Amino acid sequence: MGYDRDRLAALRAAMHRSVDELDRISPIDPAATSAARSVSTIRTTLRDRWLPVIDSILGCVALDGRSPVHLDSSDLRNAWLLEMQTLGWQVLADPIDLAEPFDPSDVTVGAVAALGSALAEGDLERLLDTPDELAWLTRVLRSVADDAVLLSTFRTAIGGDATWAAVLDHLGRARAAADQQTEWHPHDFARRDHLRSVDDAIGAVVEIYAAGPHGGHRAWVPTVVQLVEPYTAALLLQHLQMYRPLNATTLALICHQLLLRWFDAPIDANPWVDQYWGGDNTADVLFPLLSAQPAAAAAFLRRVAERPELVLVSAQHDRLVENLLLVGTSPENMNPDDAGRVLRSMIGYIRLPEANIRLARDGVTTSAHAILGSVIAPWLMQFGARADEWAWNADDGDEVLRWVLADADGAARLADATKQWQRRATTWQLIGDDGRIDDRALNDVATMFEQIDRAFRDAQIAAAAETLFWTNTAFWLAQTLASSLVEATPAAPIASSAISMVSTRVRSALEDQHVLASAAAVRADARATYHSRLMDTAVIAVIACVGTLIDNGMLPADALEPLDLTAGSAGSTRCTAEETGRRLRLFVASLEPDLDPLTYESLLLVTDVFAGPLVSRLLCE
Amino acid sequence: MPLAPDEAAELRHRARALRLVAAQLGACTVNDLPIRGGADTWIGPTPQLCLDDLTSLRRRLRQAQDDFVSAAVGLERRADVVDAAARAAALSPGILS
Repeated sequence: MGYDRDRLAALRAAMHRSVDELDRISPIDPAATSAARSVSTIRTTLRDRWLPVIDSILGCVALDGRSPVHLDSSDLRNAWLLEMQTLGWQVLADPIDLAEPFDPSDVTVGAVAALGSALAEGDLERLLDTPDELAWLTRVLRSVADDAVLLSTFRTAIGGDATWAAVLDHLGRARAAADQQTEWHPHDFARRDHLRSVDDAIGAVVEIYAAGPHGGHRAWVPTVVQLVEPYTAALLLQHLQMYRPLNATTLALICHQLLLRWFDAPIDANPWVDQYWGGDNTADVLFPLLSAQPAAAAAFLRRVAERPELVLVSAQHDRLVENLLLVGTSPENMNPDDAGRVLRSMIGYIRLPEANIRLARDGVTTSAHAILGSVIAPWLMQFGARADEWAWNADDGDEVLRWVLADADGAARLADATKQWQRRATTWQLIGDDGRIDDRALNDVATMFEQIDRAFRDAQIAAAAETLFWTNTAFWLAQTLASSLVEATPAAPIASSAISMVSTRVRSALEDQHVLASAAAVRADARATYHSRLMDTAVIAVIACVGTLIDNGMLPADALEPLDLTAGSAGSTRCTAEETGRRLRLFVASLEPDLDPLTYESLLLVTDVFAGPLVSRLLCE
Repeated sequence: MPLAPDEAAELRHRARALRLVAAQLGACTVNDLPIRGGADTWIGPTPQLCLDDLTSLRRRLRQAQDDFVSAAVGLERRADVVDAAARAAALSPGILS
């Protein structure tokens, strides 16, 4: 306990005066007995409880055993008392033995100034070396953050970035150690609580740091990141997102600079705290931040395109790398040129012999095939028909695609990623300005299908993954084409809302043709019957288109009945694909009298692209 | 039974006394104690406890002040009722006779 002798004497005098004033209250009317009891209690409390305490402090120190104490200067919580002691205050042992010399939620300007000065000038290793001190600091800073005057006082006392850096680095080191402890003892709640208390303390410091001057025409930049360890800076950015989120460009720039600094430091110098502690490292903290802000993820990946190792041999968890690449190179966030530059660089690095070992800093990507299987899904066209958009040729793309699919995980992830692929494909322009289906775009799609079909077959991957992929992609394509056909006609306004790829009619027709499996046995039979999923795609596309035209009243209800792709195929001397293509074209030709020329032409184009003579030759060689 | 005219005056006299007490409490130094007992004077667990107590005492004093005023108002209303009854009795000679 610390006190100013003169002021405490004045308080004692005021208490005596209060007691005297209350004594002078005349006998109370019986109509106000309750209020009278309150007056009596107030008087008794002052006279019998607090005046003796103050008397003992001011006059009878030795008798009451209240001797001056030596304040522990290594305890941050004593900073205020120490400061006041230098101003002439007396310090005594307090009869109430509490861990904290004052309530952190009731801090004053003086206390905050003393705290800031202690942090700026003191030895942080001693001042902040216990969990209690950390928790206390957090509570004080939360109070400071809520009060503009206290905030300003504290920031002034702290001074410039050097103190912020020292405090943050101290907490960063504590965090790294605590994180490792929780990894070693995952079921130890006390250690988890300690990690949380360190995180809370970092959050409280960052909140105050981020509350610096706002405004101006330039975006605010947390300049302290240049002075602290990359790991500490990553933690700061993590908390900053809660208090003062950075724009995507700034976040990407800072993350890039931090990872460069982290990665390029001499590895034998062991300079960074997260290198020798076992918890999350700098990249593990930064990647989720970037992934949460897609524009930042894309901007970051554009920056690191020439340094793929910053992504691939930095984070310790592959899911973080995958998520960053998925978000950052998504077609919604990155154009084909940049995606090609980034992903080709990543692919090239992954395929370097022993690259991971040679350049590893802390984390290593161990499931590159699987990651690429997911990441390239929206860009399959650029591995074949549109390879020029990625500044390579179709052979290069095909070779990489096969490399990805050669790995069971890579193929499975590519198959799983068809939703992303479909989302990307919805941006393709299959209908030209003149309302006709764009034969180049359609050919690109067909080429891509054919390329993937062959890659899948050559990789001999699990049938389940292949079937899933083809079922999903073929149905998506058929739906897109069917929609395109109907929307290209005058019936579009009515039709577009009524289109359903799997209408009963379409589903039934596909089951009749053994393309849409109604049971596992039928599916096996269908797979044996048709050599290529490309041909399945043709059948699905044609039936879906015709079914949609029927559903929209543009063809008679029995228009699908003449189509029979199953009868006689077993004994035919023709290649199945060739025979199927021929029957499809004959069927479509039979519809010409019932269709308007534009729709008929489009339907014929769909058939020819997927089941035309060229495809037959390709599949029957 | 005739009403005593002094009864209303007595009630009002008591009410005035209660209002006087309320005014004394409003001016009491107890109200200043939390300001005097803050962190500019002393800090520590005991000072914090004292400050909390002084703040509580001030709150209690103000509540007592309000209670005295309320009690005074109650007495004044009772006096008004007595006066009204006396006036009514004066206007009804049949009852008085």
